[in-house]
Amino acid sequence: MTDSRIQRTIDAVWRMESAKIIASLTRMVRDVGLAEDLAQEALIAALERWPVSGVPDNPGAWLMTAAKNRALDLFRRNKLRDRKYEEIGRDLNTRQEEDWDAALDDNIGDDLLRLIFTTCHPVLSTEARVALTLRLLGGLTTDEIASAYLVPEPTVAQRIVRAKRTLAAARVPFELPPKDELAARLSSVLEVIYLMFNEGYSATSGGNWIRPMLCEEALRLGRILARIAPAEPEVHGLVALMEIQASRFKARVGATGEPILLMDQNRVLWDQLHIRRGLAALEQAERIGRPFGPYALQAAIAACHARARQASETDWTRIAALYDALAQVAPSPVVELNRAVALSMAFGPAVGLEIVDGLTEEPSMKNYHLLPSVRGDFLMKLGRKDEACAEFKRAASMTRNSREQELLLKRAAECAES
Amino acid sequence: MRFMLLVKARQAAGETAKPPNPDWLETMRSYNDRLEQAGVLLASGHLHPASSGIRIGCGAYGDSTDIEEGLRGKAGADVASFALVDVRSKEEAIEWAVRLPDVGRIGVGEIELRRVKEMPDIF
Amino acid sequence: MRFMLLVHATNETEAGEKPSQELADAMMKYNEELAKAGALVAAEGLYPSSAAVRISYSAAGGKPKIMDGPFTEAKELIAGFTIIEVSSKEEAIEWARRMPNPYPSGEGSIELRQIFEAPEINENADWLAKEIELREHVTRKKRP
Repeated sequence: MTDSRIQRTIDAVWRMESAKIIASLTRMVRDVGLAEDLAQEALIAALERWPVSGVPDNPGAWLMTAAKNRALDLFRRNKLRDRKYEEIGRDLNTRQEEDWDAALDDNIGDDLLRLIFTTCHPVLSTEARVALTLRLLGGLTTDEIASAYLVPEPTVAQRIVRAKRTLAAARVPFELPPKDELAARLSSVLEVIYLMFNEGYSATSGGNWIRPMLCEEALRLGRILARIAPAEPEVHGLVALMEIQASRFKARVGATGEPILLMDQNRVLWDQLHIRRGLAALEQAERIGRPFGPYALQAAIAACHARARQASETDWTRIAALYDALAQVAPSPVVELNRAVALSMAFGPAVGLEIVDGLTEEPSMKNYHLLPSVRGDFLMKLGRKDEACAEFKRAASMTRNSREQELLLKRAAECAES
Repeated sequence: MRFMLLVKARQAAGETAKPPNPDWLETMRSYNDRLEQAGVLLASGHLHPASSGIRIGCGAYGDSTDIEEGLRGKAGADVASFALVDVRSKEEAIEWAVRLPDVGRIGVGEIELRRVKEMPDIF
Repeated sequence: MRFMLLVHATNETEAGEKPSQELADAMMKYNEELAKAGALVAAEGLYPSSAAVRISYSAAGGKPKIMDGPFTEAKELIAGFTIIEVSSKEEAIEWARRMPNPYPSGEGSIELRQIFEAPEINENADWLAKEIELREHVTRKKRP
C-alpha cells in the first residue's frame, strides 16, 4: 500500500470509528475532553505503526485498545491519590480485552447517545454544539469544520477547547437526560443536526465543495440517531425531512447557478432513493403513534410534494391541513405565510389573502420581501391588478438579490399592462 | 460519494450461478444492518441468479431484438448482492467492503467497488 | 417487485466518453417516463473501472487482494444500472425493451435481474423494545 493510500485509509478508519471510541472512553474516564485526547493519542500511534506493519484486521479494536492502554498509563502515572482516579484506574485494569469488545458492542448505542446529548448540551452555544458534534461524532478535523463554516481554523479550535471546558466546569454528567428533560434535550440535538443540514443545503452551487458534505454529515448523524433512539417520532421526522430535501439537490439549481423554486423544478431530477427513504422514515414516525412535532409535520409536508409526480398533482388540501397543525405546534410568521400559500392553492386566493393581511403589522415581517410578494400574487389572482403591481414593486425594493428583483419587477410590469 | 458494492459469489469457470444460500442472505442482512446503523446505506438487495435473468438485445433505438433467458458470463452475471452506500472517500468504501464477514464460509469470490457518477459527469 | 436493469461497459465508456446529446436526451425522457409511472427507484451511471477497486478472496482463504482498476474485460463490466419497481415480470420486460439503446455502436444487450425483496429501512421491533426499556431504566434510575 502506498503511503498516501495508508494515510487516506487511516483517515477513513478514524471517521468510521472515532465516535464510538470517544463515546466508550468517555463512559470510562468520565470526561469528554480527556476521552478525545486519549483517542487522538491512539490515532497518532496508528499513524506511526500502520505504514510499517500494515492496517490491522480490526482497526477499530486496535485503536480502542491503544486508547485504553494510554488511559491505564495515565492513571498509573497520576500522582494525585484522588480516589476517583484510583477507582477508574482499577476498573480499567481488571477488565480483559474480550470484555471490552463485548462491553463495546452492548453499550455502544447507549454510549453514542450519551455522547450526542453531551455535545449538544444546551449549556453550550449553538456554534459550540455544532463544532463539537462535527468533531466528536462526525470525526471531522478542525480544518474541515473551519472550511465548512468559512471561519479561520484557530477560531474553531478555540471554540472546541472552550466547549469542553464549559462541559467540565458545568459538571455535565455522561448520562441520558432524565425523562422530564428528555424532550427539551432531544430538541437541542435535533436543532444542531438540522442547522448543519441547512448550512449545507443553502450553499450556492459551484461554491465550497465542503458544503454538501455538511448535509451528508447531518443526514448520516440523523440516521444513526434514528437507530439508537428509535422511539422518538421527531427523530424519524427530522430524518424524513432531510432525506426528502436532499432528494431535490440536483433539481434546485439551474444551469447558470440560479435557484429554482420547488414548483418549477424538473421532478425527474428528484432522487427517488432519498424520497423512498424519507417516506419510510415518516412511516416509522407514524407507527410510533404519538402526535407529530414540528419536524415530522414539516416532513409530512415535504412528503406531499415528493409524492406528486407533477406539480399539478400536489395535494394542497392535505398540505394546508398540515400547515394548520404546524401553526399550532410551532407558530411563526413564516409558517403563517406558508400556510396562507397552501390554503390559497387549496381553497382560492381570498382565503390566503385574509391570512396574509393579518401579518402585515408583524414586526418580524417588516423586511421580509416574500410577504408583499405573496400578497401581490393573491391580489393578482383576485383581479386587483393595481394593488398587486404595487406589492410586487414593494417586494422588489426589499430584496437585494438582483435576480429576484428582476422577477418581481417583471411581475409588476405584467400586472400594469393587463 | 456514492459507491456500489457488488458482491460476487465464487464460481468455477463455466458454472451456473446458484441462488444465494441462507447463510449468504443472513450474513448480508446483518452486514446491511451495520451499514444502516452507521448511516451510510442507501439501498441494498440480492439479485436472483443469472440463470433466471433476461437479456434484451438492442438494435436501433427503441427496437429490441431478441429476448433471451438465462445469462452466463455477461456483465453482472455473477453479482449476487449489492449495497449502495454514501461515504466520504473511496478508502471508506474499501474499509466497509473488507468488513463483510465470513466471506470464506458463505462463498464470496470478489467485491467490486464502483463509484456512482455525480452531476455534471452524467450527461 | 423490484428489478435491476444492467447496462454493460464498452470501450467508449471505459475511456470516459460521455454519451451523445441525443442519447442523453433519450435517457432523460425514459427516466421521466419511469418516474411518472412511479416505477423509478434509482438510475445511475458508474465511473469507468479506472476508478474501481476489486477485492478478491481466494478459495484458500487469507486476506483479500485489493486491486485498483482499470480492469480489462469491458463486456463484463457494468456501466450503469436502473432499479425499477413494478407489479409483474412482464412489466419489467416491457420497461427494459423501452430503454433507449445505450450502446453507441448500436449493438449490445441490457440485462434484467429480479431483486429479492430487501427492505431498505430496518423495521426492527427489537430496537423499539430496547429503547422503551432504556427510557424506563432512565426514569427508574436514581441520580447520584
